[in-house]
Amino acid sequence: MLKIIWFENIKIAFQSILSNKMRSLLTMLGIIIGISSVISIVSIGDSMKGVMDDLYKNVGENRAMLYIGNIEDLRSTDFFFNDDIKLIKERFKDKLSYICPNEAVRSDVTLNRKNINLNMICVDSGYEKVQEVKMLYGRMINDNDIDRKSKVIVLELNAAGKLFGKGNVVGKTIRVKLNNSMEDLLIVGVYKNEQSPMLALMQGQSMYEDSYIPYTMPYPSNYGFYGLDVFVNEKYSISSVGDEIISYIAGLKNRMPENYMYYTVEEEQVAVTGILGGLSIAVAAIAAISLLVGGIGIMNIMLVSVTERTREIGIKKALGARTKDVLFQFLIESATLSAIGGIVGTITGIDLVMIGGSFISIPIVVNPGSIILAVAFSMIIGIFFGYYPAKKAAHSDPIDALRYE
Amino acid sequence: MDKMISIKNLNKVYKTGAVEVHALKDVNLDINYGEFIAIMGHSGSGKSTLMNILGCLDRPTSGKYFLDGIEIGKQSADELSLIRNKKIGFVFQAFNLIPRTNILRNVELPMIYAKVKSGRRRERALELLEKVGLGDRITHLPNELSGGQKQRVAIARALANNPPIILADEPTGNLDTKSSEEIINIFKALNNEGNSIILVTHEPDIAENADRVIVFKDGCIIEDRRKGGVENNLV
Repeated sequence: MLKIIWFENIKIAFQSILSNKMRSLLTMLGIIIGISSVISIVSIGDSMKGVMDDLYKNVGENRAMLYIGNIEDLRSTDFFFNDDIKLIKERFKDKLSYICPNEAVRSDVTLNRKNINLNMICVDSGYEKVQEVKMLYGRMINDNDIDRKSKVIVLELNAAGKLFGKGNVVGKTIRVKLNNSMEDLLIVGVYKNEQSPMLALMQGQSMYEDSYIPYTMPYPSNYGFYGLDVFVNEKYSISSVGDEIISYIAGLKNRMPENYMYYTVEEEQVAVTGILGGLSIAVAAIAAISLLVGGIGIMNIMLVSVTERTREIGIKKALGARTKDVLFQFLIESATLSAIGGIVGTITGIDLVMIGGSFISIPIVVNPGSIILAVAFSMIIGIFFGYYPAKKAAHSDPIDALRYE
Repeated sequence: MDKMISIKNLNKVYKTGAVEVHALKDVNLDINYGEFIAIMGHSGSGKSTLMNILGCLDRPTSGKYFLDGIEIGKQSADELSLIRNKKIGFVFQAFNLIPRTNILRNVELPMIYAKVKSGRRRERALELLEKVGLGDRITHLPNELSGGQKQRVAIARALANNPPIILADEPTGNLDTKSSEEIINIFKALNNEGNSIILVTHEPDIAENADRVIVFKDGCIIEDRRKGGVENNLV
């Protein structure tokens, strides 16, 4: 029974909105601006979070760095040696999926009058098992290379292209400078670095082309490394494994655990995501103030509308409209007005972000929840700010209303 | 026979600031079903106040008003809305159609509040507009019609829920002579079909059409004359 009146009221609301198009549009403008700014800010926040997540995934979410911290009387034995690495590997073989000195060597490479700056990342065998490496040709660094200190290199596609003018350069050699001597390295593989354009933008245009070499090759067997690059097995908590390794190393080196540092990507990710989230909530809250202004606009126009239609209200009451019927008619009208504003605002907001996103080519994340929230919230604003005018209309005396000119 | 309307010692006092206006003084009045009554009086005589009370738009200050056996003074505002909706058809001097809304929907309006299903509503509205001779104008807006046509729409609307009483407050006040005649003829025809009609007017020629004329002055009934038998005898 109530449904009939609902439907009629919605019809009346649309009629009234359509018969005053200009006024309705201006009234909705506040809501449109408010909702579109909230939607676009939230989407920007979400998209940035998506980019950051990508970035961390690219670095490796379960990756950690182990290095010598603050030691005043640094001794040569404090560094990490191959024997230490073997011990850690053995001790933590279940918990660590990868461990390798955190080193990279840079060198100029000139070939056929073409010159590039090469960044040679030192890796252990099995790196491709913990971090995705997209091999195009040949193979990745293997156990054999590590054991024999093979003079081999796996080039990134860009480097291959710049030096040789083609991708498949497996079997060719390049001359690089390693530890003050020139060495010829055999190219055993070519891979492709897959990065989103936004990621490249954030990391800065690197002057260096990437490549991988066996970590054992450039360094003598008794070389002390400053830091270690580890991947923790996904089944274990990255921070508690970190604590265990640090106390183990401190034990080996006869140092305090405080003397070694453990840095995880996860920690930073949580911090950065938190800051980003907090920031976008704060900005969205400021943008939401415009929704308040929009709501007051709706209240204003509904008050005008109620006054204008005093006579109409009187007629309806005389014809049998109850207080509730009039109240709902005006509430539905203001809710419809603001909901349409909310929908238009949402579409505008998404469009704005899409256009903005296409310029810096980041993938845009629009949270469907935020759309529902925005439209629902704008309806609530309409109902909240429409309540007073609607109540005023509903409680008007039919005699006074009929007499009103 | 039961009385359709029964008013006993009815008083209405308006307070405007410090001034009290005694608009109706100890009014007693009985109206039967099927009567065609004209209420006359100068402005300020209390006839509009009585009309508002009869129409359940206002409550008496003291005294009793029974409509169809229901005591009106005891009803809540929403119950009064329901009573107006079911028992009273209003026709106003200023027509009071809903602007920017076609006349079909105007006639449907009382039925919307009576929660009549939309198909049945439309059927009834079409039937009534046909009856008042506007069946071909259902999509017209009120401001596209002449005064006489507007008043005919108002009459169709008043009949929508088939109420026992039609209350017409100066229905010809804004009309020319020809349209006034048309409207009065519609009322007469409705009365012949058995509808009770209460007509408020200050024009004696209009009042002459009623079977019973009640004259108000200073809040009291000063004349209540029936002349119903005369016309019937002539026929």
